[in-house]
Amino acid sequence: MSRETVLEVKGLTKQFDTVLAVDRLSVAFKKGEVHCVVGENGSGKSTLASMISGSLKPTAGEMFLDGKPYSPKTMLDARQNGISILVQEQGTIDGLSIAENIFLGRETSFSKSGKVVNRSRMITEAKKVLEEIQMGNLDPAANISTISFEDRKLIEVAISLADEPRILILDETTTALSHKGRDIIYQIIGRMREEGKTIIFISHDLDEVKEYADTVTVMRDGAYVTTLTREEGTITVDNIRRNMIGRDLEGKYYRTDEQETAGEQTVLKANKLQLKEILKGITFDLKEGEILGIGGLTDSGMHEIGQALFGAVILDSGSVTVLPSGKKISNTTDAARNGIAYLSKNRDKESLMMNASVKDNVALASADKLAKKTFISPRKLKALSKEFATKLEVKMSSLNQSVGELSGGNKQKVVVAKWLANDSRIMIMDCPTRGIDVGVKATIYRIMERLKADGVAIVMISEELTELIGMSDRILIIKKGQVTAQYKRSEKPTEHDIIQYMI
Amino acid sequence: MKPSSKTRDFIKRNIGQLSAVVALIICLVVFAILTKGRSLSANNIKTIFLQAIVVIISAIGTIFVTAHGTQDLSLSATIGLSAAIGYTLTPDSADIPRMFVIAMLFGILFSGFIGVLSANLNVPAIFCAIVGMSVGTKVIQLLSSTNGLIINYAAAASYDNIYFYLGIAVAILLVMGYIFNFTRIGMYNKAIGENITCAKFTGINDVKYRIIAYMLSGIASGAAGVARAIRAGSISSTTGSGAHINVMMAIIIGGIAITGGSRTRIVYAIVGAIFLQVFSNGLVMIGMNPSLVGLVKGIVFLAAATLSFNGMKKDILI
Repeated sequence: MSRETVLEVKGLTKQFDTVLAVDRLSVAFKKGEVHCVVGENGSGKSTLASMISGSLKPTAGEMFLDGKPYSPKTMLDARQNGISILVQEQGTIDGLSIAENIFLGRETSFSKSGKVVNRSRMITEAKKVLEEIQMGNLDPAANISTISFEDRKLIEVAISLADEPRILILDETTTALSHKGRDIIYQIIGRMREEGKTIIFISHDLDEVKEYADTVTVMRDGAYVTTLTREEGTITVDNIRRNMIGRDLEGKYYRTDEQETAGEQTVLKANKLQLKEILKGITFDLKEGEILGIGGLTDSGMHEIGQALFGAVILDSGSVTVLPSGKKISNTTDAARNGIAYLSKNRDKESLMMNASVKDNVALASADKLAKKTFISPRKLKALSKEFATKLEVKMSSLNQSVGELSGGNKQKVVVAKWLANDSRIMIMDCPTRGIDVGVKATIYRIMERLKADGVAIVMISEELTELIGMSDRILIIKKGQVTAQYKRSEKPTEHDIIQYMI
Repeated sequence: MKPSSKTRDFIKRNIGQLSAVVALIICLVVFAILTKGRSLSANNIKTIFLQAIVVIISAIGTIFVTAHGTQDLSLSATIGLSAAIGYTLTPDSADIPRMFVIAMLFGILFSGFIGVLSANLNVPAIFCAIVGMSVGTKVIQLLSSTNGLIINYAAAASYDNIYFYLGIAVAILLVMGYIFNFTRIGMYNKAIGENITCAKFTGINDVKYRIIAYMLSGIASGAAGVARAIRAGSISSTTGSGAHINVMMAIIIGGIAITGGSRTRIVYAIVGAIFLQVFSNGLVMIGMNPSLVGLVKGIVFLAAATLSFNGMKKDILI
């Protein structure tokens, strides 16, 4: 079946200073297809999306909409042409109500005179929109800042749908969402596809791509690599990955051993952790050299478990004990001093000083180790940072480079280096590969394996089931603050096994 | 990496602070030409230093608070109050070293109290300043008779010389410089200014280190207060008033980001403080009406602040 082309880009090029972000790209997007654009960070996917949606102007090349030349000057221009984009970052305005956010810029459609807005009608209309995205339980009059990040993201979807776009661009929208949110997005995608509309879908999650894409365009270093299609049956995770990286992934991706392994010594005990309605009596042990996976929905309480282990939340009852010392953890200082490390899910905002140098970031947890009485030698500090940045193979121009300038994978390496420099023996990793490229993800997994071999105990909290299954010695599944199931590596649980205990 | 690109990198990262140094040099040269060298006479340099002493000492001391991203707007109150307390607890105000020690200890206490308000209870700096000033003014009025607090003339005279003030400034610089650059107090306060959540999630007790920052500012304020008192010969409710504004100006003109962070440097606070004094001194020397000098200073400050904030915005966008 050959479908009609709705949007075509020809020789599209975008140059930023010396960087060629998109290089003579030609792609045709068809009606009624889910067209995924994949590639590693910096491959030019988002730049392409920005050019189509009017927020960036191409350096060279042409675009055709319905066969006619198309060159949007602004995002509004693109929207009037029926092209909407949903971005990764937050796009709602705090302080306004949900309804006001949904109809932002179109308030006058609720006004006879064009001056006074009929608020109750706006709220009624907003209610309808919310119901369409299965969020009818929200109050449209409520301030948007009172609802969760995920719900806000979904409301942005509603906002862009209100225009009834012919082409919807999703730029890594699902990255920030849980299963529930993703499902809603997938349903919307499905419906739009049925209606003969086009969805341009940019995603890092290859399983998601495999599941939903009709066509996949692979990009590398700004250039077109190949097109895979469902009809030809060429859309497989391996195939996409190989084309993205431009070579076969060397060796393995996840762990290849099939047995759970760990040392004798228990290093951490969580005993009946209780936190409001979030955690209800979580208990488990962690052994040296063990990778304990914790899986669940975003709001299952699993992220709070990570924070509780690090002493970052005040528990109603229960305790976290480090062994063999028997020391109880009651705050983050205790945790860091007793060899516990914490890698936040929100890496850029919570685990790094983005404007500070690699050197300062890596050394930050090691003051106790560096200080001779009170004196911290800058030379020793630099040497320590250098040692661990090198050990983790952080790609940087120098130790003085700002961490904010590094790629996602290298930022994560800096966080790991920070904690290894401090001789941490227990690593709590909350979504360690979130927003990291496929090629670099493998590096993070290799680091985890190396840590395991060195006897470091790891708690890996993750929303990606394949990663949990692929890396963990043991998996705890959390639902509504309780452990609902536990699997050993040797039991080889499938995603299906796990999901039924999550939902 | 080639050295040339390293240098370029350094300049790019420190553009605000380097332009402060350049501005100071230009200012020195221009006024030297306009006054035919009079502005660089030993006597005038001494005058400039003596006038800048309180701001220099306070700016050094407040660097920790600046680094963690707030401003110690109460330091004027601390200066006046600690000088008054030091005076009151020193019989006949004859034993000047004793007065210093008491003032600095009181500075730690009072500023530490402000630190608890700020770090523990999250009271904004401006409200702390209002509390500090109203308490300070009243207490000084209570302590002083109608004549104000007059320092023992003989004692003051024996200490009132350039070497003594220079000694105080150097001592404060050495102590604070060590703590700021070579201990975890400096390291952590800079980290808190960079990203307080990251600091917390790295196991840093942010509240503790923020309070310590205020205490250190208090030590410097105590020293600055007594230095000011000896220079003036007396203490009144106006002792130290306005110092916080001059310190803020020095910090911003020195090119230090008021959000703090790892690029905070003591030396640029000093550069800022000296620039301010050289600038107003120069204007007076070329015959500008002293009331206009304040206005011109204000305009320069505004320009520096505008550049500084816009520079920061650009940083965030990138």
